[in-house]
Amino acid sequence: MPLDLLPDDLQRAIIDAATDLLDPVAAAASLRTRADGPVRDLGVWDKATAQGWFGLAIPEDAGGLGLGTGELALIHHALGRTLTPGPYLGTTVAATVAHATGSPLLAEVMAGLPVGILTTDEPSGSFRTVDREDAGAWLVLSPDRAALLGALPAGAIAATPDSMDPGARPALVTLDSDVECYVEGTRPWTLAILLVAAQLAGIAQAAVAGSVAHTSVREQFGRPIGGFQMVQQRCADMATRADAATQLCLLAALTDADAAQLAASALLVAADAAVTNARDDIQNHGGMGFTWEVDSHLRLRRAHGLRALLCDPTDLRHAVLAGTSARAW
Amino acid sequence: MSNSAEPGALLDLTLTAGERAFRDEVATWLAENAPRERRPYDGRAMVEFDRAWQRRQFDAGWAGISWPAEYGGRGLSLVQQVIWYSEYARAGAPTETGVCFVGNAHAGPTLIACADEQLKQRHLPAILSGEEIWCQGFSEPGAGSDLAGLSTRAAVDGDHLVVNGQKIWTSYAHHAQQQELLVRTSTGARRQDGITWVVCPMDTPGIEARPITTITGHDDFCAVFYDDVRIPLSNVVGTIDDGWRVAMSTLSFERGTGFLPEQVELVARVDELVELARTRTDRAGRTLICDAGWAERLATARAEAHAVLAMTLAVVSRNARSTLPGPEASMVRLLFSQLQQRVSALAVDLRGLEGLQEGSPWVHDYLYLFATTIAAGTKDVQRSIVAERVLGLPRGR
Repeated sequence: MPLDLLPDDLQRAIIDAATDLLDPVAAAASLRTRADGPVRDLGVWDKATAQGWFGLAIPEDAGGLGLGTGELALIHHALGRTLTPGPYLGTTVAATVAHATGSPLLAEVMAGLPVGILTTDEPSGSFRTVDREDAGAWLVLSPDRAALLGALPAGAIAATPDSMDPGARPALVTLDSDVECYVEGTRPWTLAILLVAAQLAGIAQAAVAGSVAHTSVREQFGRPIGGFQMVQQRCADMATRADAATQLCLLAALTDADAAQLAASALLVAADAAVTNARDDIQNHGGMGFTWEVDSHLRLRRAHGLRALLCDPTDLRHAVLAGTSARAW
Repeated sequence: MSNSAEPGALLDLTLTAGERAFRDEVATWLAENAPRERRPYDGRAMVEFDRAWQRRQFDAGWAGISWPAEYGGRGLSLVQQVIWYSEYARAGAPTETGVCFVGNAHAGPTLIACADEQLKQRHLPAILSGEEIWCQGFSEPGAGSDLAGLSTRAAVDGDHLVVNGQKIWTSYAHHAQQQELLVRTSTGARRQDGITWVVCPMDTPGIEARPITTITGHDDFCAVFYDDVRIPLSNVVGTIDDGWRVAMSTLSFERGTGFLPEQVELVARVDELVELARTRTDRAGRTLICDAGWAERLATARAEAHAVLAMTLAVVSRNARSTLPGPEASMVRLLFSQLQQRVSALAVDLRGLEGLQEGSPWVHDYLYLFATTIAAGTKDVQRSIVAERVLGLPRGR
């Protein structure tokens, strides 16, 4: 039936493949060590490339898989759920920009050339990125235009202090000359907003799973703490937030007309869900939740990093409040 | 955008040509027929308003849209139901819980699922045409969220049940002709055993319905007393002592679409408030929407109203594929009921002192909507359902 938000067999298969490929334990371990160098796991990246993730929404006659935004949202939900670090977002959006502009970079991007995101840094006129050590090309992204750039000279990229998110490699990027290859239009930005929202929704859901796993077995007063109403109620609210974020992301992904407002709404809901659920998950873990060893804080860190990645709360509110309400059907 | 638009493909919002035509037909009819005036808050005027609207839908063939055609319903597909309810709200048709609600949404579907042919024929057409108003005799002073604790007794005497006891919070009992009544006919091993579901005509001798004034100042519901009330055994739905199963058979509420009109209407309600914040100014002449505090409340409300619609669509999609409705609907209920309250508070707050005007729609809604986290399972009970049945946490106390 159309008007349907449940995955079909093909979409289920995409989710299952992502779940098989992405290893949350390995991702958390690498984040915890905060090792220098690229944050992406090259083996995982290559397999994701081979599965066609970066050309998922590119038409088949252009070498892609010919699927849609809904499938991209499912992939990015899984990336968020597993805290997988790396420039998946920039590379995915770059492929759509490359396809729309007929860029010769399209084949390389679909073949796994990692693309970092540059957002404008007002008022310095420079750009910010969190992909400093891991990009072979760059996507300049703003709400109404985007541009695809090749590799930058090393001197253009100045590292800034580490982020609380160990999956981020922040830097300030200064370009010699003005970017001249902008394509006008809101679609790349809207897609990026939506996929960030999907990752945040995945984090929100992972926090629920973490809390359920722990509170079902951790005993105090002779029984599992998940049987205490205070804990149950907190978990129920977490589950509700995660479901709201996940379903709204899917709805926004499937809506063609006026998608910008729904994508912004999805980001607003998902960012709150991810941060709040991560906080509650730390509380649910008690003393263990306060330790470096438990993953809860990694989700909190990533949630904050993603929430701030593309825009600040004021911009987001404006995007949600613009015009009248969008219709999904 | 997705190429998975062929029939049967999922994760998809595509309407077929036939469904789009249906949407246009529905929208046209509603634009011409939905009442323009606001629904009166109580008394005869309210009852007549609700009945007239029900009758107008019935005459045009739109009553009982999910009911089988053999009982006068429209027998629409789930997608058509979603379309009907969405267009209903977009047309500004009344979404407040009216006096025809229990008959349409609860008693009727229960009769369809569990009653014998004679009861169906006698009551279903009368519900659809608005002739029969129903009320729900479930809650008792000692059995609210804990419904299985009910103690209103019924003894079999010849071919009648003889009922003694009390119900409470019975909406519109003083306007109703019929009641879906849960009584205790025996005490079994489990408290859910020994309950019977029976159709109780409200004009039976021995029934007294005393209206209770709610926090809105209106007489929305009643305490109902039963003193040797004799009800024919032929009015029992299902069998004696099997009423719990009968009652639970329809709690799914039209497979998840039941609250869609209110949910779609909430989006429109937020739109009105956004518009209000764009025009009202503070002393310095700045519009309220420029203030970060108001903007945050409004943006969150709009985003969450979208989320509620998405969650409902997911529940409907899930229910379409299973015989038993899942507990996920409790998550929708949790967010939706609390969001309704936040939006109605915003409607009062944005207007300052003017917002406090007694008798205004926004004050009425603000107070009336306190019911949404209490009725049909308090938010506390809904959270327990989510924790234990969605998440599988250990049973709580």
